[in-house]
Amino acid sequence: MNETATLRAAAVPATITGPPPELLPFPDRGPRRPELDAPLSQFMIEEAAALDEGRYQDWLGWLADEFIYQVPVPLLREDPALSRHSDGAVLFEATKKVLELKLGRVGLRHAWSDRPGGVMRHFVSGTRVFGLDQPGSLRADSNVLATFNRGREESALATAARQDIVRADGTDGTDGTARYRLVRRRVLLDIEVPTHAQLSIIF
Amino acid sequence: MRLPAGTSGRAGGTVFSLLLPVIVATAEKTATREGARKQMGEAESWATTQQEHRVDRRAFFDDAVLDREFKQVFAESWQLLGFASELPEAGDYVVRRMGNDSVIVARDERHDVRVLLNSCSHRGTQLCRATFGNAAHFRCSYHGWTYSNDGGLVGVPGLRTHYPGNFNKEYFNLPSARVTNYRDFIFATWSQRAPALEEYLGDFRWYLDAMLDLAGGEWEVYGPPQRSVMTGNWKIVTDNFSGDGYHMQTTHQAAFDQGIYGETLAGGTLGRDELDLIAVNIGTREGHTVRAGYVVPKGRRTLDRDLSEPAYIGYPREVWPQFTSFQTEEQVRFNSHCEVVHGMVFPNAAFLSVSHDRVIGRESDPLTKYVVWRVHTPLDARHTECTYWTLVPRMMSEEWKRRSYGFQARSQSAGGILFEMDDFENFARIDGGIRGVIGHAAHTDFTLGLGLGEAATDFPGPASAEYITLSEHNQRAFYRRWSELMESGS
Repeated sequence: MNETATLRAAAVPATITGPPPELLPFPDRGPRRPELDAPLSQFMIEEAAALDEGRYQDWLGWLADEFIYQVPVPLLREDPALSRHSDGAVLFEATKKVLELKLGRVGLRHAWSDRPGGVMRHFVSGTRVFGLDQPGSLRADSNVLATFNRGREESALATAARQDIVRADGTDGTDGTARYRLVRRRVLLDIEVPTHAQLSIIF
Repeated sequence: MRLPAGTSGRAGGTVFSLLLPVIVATAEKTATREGARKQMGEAESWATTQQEHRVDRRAFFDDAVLDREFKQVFAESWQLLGFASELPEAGDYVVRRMGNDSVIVARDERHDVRVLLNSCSHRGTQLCRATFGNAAHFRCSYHGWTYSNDGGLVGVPGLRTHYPGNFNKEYFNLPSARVTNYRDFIFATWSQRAPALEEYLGDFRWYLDAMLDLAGGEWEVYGPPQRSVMTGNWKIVTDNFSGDGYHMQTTHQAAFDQGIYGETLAGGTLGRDELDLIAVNIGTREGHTVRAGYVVPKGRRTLDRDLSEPAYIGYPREVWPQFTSFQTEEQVRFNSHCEVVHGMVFPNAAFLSVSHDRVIGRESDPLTKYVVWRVHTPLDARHTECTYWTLVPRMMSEEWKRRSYGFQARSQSAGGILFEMDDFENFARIDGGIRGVIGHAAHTDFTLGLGLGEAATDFPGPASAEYITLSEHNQRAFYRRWSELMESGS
């Protein structure tokens, strides 16, 4: 983590007040904020690049302390008008600490599924920004195509609608890349029953 | 066992040599530790010992073997399909796999749970494409034959004008499996020969009751189940759950090092800090298994707990006296101080109950138990669909239930990147390692702990219970039953 990132991290409150975010419903979209599409798109590109390039400390630095990552259970229902994902059940869920442990596995000799390491690659597009009731918070919805490759026998591709809650982190970054913190991420997988390789991707 | 001609390529050879002419059912030898190795060595040669406790590796990748399993193992067994509480209203249905058939599990208008073949009796078209929903009738999308949700054919377009006058509608009712709802667990079988479920569960039933009665017997399924597809034969993951404590130290070393099980269980399992995990392994003659683990001071070989104040690790201390009041004395002796319990119901259901704390939660999170039940359904010989249901006691608070569920989702779900992934990794590595000519010429060995267990005569539950922390006692029970069924009718 570089000095600037450290300073930015300090601007985020260290203690969490109120109920854990996983107990709260995912915020609905507020009014469309097209003027923010470009800076948030840029933020998403930088954030994905940090994951793809293995700069995990940079990536973790962009997560708020109360960050929660959720992959809801996909639902295949008869009526296409009904939600395609559960609002309560998850295929996977992680706090910032769980993601730190996951990304820290690359340094552990006995983390078998991370050794040899695989390659993740994110293709993020169509980021659209919406306002939220909470001042300073925004919702950014994107399309994500992500791939994971590890030797001849493990190759996965998955597409998802990604929904992020971000907030301005209180600093005025000049490059437009790190002015936000990820508070919550919800990954709506397109596939109903994913493979373990697809689920090993951090979207 | 010898495979019938045409089942596989190795004509006439002894293939599934897990036949146990001496050590059948509950008669597995037990001995004192001191004399066991010596006795085994004197009694028989290694070749004999090994040949009786091994499985031909083609059982783990050959679709011809799987075809035989579908007919002789799955179709003749009771299979767990889900939970009645997933279907609260009349008309609710879920689509599940039973062997290699798709079935509709529906609550009919009389509120009975039905298990119906998901295939129109006319051309065989799948009736339900959705995974769940609510419907009073299932109408075929091809020619419109319509069935009520108890499986009766109730509508055939053009029946009076275009079919022979003697057309028998009942002849075309959907095939309907035998169903038993045992304490919310929905089991079904196609077999008319299979015994009633209670008899099929055999001695395992005592342990299932004990695990459910712990929290007053009222449990609920948290949300729709998680599902994923893994690489590897269905038996690999199932025998792992049946009783493989041996893999913990290696497969999950990283998880222990990162502290995701807290200090006590990790310390006990790895023999750290003056602690040991002592496990009781239980294999029933029906092929069901339980492995219960208790953390004890190092060097202790049997359970010796203070039962004046029973402890239920992973549940809040305030509910412990209430939990005790729900149970019989024997159940308390099984559940108290139990750190981890896992096992399986033959052929392909498995369960695990264990606790996590703040390492995967938040700083203030207490040690919290989760109970997950799973079904491992073969898609083909090398790929398995895993379905996961997390069960929570109805009496606990919503906050507790969510935390229990969250801990399951973060570690043991299909996406459990800190734990489950290392199991998936090893199952895939087995699949990658055994399919060659030389790779499958070897056998998969199940001699761990053979003859070394001490009969747990003071243990409250029935069946063949042994004190031995690292053993394939349970895997032997699983493959023994599997082998019996694979041989039958050959």
